[in-house]
Amino acid sequence: MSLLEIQKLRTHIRTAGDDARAVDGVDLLLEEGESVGLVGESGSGKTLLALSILGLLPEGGGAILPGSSIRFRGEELVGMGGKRLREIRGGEVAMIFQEPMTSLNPVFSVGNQILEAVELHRPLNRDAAKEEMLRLLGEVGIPDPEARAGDYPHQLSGGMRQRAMIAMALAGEPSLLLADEPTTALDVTVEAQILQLLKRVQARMGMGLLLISHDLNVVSRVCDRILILYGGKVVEAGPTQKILDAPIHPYTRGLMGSRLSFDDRRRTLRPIPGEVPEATDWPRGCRFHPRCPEVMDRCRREEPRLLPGTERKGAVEVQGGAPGGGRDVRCWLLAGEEGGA
Amino acid sequence: MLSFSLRRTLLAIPLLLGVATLVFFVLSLAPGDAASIYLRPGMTPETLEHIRRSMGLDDPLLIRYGRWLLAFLQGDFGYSHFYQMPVRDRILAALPNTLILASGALFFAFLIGILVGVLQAVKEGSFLDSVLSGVTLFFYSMPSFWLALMLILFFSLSAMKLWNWPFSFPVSGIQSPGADLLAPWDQFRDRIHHLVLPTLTLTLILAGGVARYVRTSMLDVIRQDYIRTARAKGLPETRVIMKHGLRNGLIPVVTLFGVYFPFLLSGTVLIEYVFAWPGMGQLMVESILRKDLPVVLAGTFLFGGMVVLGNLLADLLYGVVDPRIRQSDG
Repeated sequence: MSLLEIQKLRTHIRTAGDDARAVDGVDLLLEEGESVGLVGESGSGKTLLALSILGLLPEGGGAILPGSSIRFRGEELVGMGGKRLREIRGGEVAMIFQEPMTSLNPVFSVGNQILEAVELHRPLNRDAAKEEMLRLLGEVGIPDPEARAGDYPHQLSGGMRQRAMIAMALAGEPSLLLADEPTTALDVTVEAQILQLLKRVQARMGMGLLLISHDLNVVSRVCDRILILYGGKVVEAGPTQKILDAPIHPYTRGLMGSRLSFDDRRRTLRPIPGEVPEATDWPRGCRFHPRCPEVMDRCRREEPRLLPGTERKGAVEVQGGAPGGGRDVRCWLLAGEEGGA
Repeated sequence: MLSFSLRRTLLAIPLLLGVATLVFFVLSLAPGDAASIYLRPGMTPETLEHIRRSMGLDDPLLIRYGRWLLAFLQGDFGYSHFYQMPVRDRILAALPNTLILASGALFFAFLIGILVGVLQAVKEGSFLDSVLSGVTLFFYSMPSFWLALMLILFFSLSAMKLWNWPFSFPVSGIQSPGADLLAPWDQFRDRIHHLVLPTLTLTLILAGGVARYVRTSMLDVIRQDYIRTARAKGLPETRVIMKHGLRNGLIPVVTLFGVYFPFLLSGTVLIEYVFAWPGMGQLMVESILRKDLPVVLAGTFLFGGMVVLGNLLADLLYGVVDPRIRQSDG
């Protein structure tokens, strides 16, 4: 049994016109202690996917369609409510968000907010819970926890706030941590520290980690496997190193080309032209085709399937292996002539 | 923060004196004066003139003003010729009645208003929300004296005579005639009975405004990221709303508290009048009509002081509910 198993997840946003198909049939497997990265531009549906897991979609802002399944250790989360869902939230599956400033309540001290999570999910008395709260603050690298516990979010720097958020998420000793763009609002130096922290606590607690980012660099520093999301669908998935060494999908290669690197400073940035279309109005065929440098006729007509593969172009070796174990790509470049849908 | 409030309070003193001065001169412009209180049938103009002189009313305006100001600064509010007692005593007699009425009304108005506003925000767009919006707008825009009369009609007159309800509430005053002779417990019950209708009127009118304010504020708050964090933590929805939401949603409501606070002393003139409630509002109206200048001036000063105090309290309350304000030094 996997820690997290998402099957055919479709999360739509109701709008005045057509529904926005923000997450449109995503499969995802995450094993115990594994870290998986979810990469995509804004509008790719990655945040809604994360919110779908814990049922945190904004009211009236999104709905998970029938036929979708999200199983946590075999337990179906779609449609779950009440006490069991509250036990899972923060207790077994915790989440941290992009904006540590607005995600912490401004009128309660950080110690108070962490203590609340400890008391909710751990059978400790008041004093022990308080001690645990201070230990958590220390664990996430906040110096002088006794003094900082009384601070309000506005008194802390961005990095310290995110550390406090992480401490709060760890309070229930979760076995899965969802991190939605945890470093996007932070300085680059602080970003490195936070990523290191996430990596360290993940290893120490044996947690599963789903790290969501628009930044391939961030994800590749932490995650064992990467899923590339475009237009609400997975376009490429595989082990981090394989994706970095030999990206197959033109979109993945676009992301690689548009990222900054210290290694080759003379290399010019090659941004992907255009932007993600509206989720109410996906293009026919492959959703990436209007921006794809290698677009073919077929891409405009038919939508490719997610297929296992190891090499690009020509002789594609099709693996019959376990789902998620190898390499999955959604592109006609792979299918050759005969492998169409 | 505290020094800022203190400075503002000190600045308010000349402002209050200015207001009282303005009232002094404006009332002097009106025809007639306090001497007319002593006017009796068959009195000669000479006698009246004599009375006026003995009251110092024939002195030039500026001299009268100087005399009033000097006494006022020494804490002497003067003498009410109409009530035949020092102004201080007259005001101290009216004040408790107003305090009891207004403090009860303020308490219930904020309690009901906050609960209704939160409920509406949580159920935004529902049928319940629409109905409550209609109800709060109805009371918010209702003239208070009319609502008072309608409540009297329903709960006092019709209740007993038409519908044979087992109870009805008294129409006016703070106690029944001869209530002094009752046993202490019955006397207390009689007082409470008299409080019901005026308090209800004032509560309904104020609660409407509070509810509308709280609804708007809470709608903004429950869309914030930290509410999502509170849910992600596994908190039950009631605690998400009542703890994490309400503490933030009440911050703007503090302003409203500052605005309503002066009612504690000033009462509401119309409601006290309709219910013949012997409080500050009624006293002020009577005194203006009788040209009882010292009472009007002292009352004006007190009301102004309450406005300033209300603002000061609101400032301090901001610091209590919002740590971001508490820690910034102004």
